[in-house]
Amino acid sequence: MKFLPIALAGYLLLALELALRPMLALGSTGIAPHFVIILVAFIAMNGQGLFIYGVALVMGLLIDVTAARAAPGAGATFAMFGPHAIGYVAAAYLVVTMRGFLLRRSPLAIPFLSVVAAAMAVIVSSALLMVRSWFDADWTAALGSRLGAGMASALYTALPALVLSPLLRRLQSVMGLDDGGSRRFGR
Amino acid sequence: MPRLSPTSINPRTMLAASCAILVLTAVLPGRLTPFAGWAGELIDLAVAPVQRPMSAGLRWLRGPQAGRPTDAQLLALQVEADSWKLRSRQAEQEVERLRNQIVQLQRGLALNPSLAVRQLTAPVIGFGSDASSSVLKVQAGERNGVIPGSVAVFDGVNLVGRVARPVDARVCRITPITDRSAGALSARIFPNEAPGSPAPATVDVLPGSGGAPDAGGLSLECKLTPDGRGLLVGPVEWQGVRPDQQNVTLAQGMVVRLSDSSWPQSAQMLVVGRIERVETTDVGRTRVSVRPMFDLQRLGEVTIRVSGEPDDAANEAPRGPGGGS
Repeated sequence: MKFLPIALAGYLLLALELALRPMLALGSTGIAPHFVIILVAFIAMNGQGLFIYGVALVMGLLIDVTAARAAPGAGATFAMFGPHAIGYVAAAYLVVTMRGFLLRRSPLAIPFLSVVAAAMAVIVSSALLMVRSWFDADWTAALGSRLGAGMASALYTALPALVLSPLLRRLQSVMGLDDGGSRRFGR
Repeated sequence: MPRLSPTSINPRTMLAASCAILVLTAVLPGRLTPFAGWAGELIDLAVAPVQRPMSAGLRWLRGPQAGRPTDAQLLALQVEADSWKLRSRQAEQEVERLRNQIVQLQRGLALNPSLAVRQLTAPVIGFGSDASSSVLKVQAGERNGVIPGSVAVFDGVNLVGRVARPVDARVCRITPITDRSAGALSARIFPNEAPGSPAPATVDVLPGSGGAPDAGGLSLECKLTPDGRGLLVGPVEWQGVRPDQQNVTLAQGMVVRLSDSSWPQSAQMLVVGRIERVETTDVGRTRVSVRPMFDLQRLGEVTIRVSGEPDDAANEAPRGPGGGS
């Protein structure tokens, strides 16, 4: 696996996530597609070894530190270190577990895995944020609405994944990822 | 004793340790993890050059916001008209404030001088990656003189929110008034500013009630709280309006303006939005839902009003449409 092309793809998808996500949001519901998780799912499906989890961890951290949240009273914003990183690692693990059961060349494989990965990431990060709310008086987690919007966002992620999936497949060899032909089974 | 060299660290162990540390930092209070903010600043800086054209491109594809004229000349005229309305309302409130000052001076209380305001227009380069938060990221920071607490507006008079701490060198974050964490704000409803409303009808205010000035017609106080879905909701205060004049009907489209002492003086009478819904609660109180004039999540640029800088007093003069304070 080649570090530089993957880092470049991650950079572009992070910019897409930050720029387009709020604009593609459905009204004020907070339902919006994820972009970075598509890359995580793609690498988890085609990558090997611990590198997958390393990429997931870094991409999750980038999402964490760019997710400025308003503190109560609106006088300050703060970033968290961890919820998305752990969520993305869990999502990558789920994709690695599931990839053996999928037709990897199917055009729907990446969109499907992106939805599953995004849902997993939302569940894990929401659970961590809920735990945080027990310790941090400044943080109140509206877990129900967050989970609801997160699950809907995960479904919405299928749309950009459908668009990005062919593009990522074309870049598969550039990224140094296994094209699936050399392995009979997922793992 | 075996030495620990970099190559002897098991990657699996490293990953597990990283995850364990991240689980810990995920649940730690924000003040214990300031490095997350610093890292965010670096990443924002790195991503901004790509993020900005992407945002601008999509905004261009989506076209202008609903309710905003597409014709540039018409837009300029509308902005100028809104700007004059704002100044008129601010003048009314200034009269009221001066009246109160006179009363306070007579009581021998110290007064704060009014503050100068400097305006700075800056592009919205994006938002946080967390869709549950509506914080706006704006390409203007400490280097441009932005300070925490500065007020952000759109089209000169429409209130967007306040600049939150920390303000980075080139980037700042604005908490919109519709964000749950923004908290409640006090505002005034101006029934005479409803679309197609007749000539202003004045309503007398009971002496010493702190109600609306009679110079600008009726205005009713309300306390608005963001509902997290883009609206501000709250009860209307009828106290202070003469009983025989309490038959004013609140309706959709009436303009609501900021009137909150916790906000800077220069922000008073900025437009919060228009009434979208009027309800009567079980206990007979009137409750209004107010929606900002524009979708605060789709703004291309905002104007930041930095107050408290005496050197910029000269900039208080109007600078064309939307300018001035």
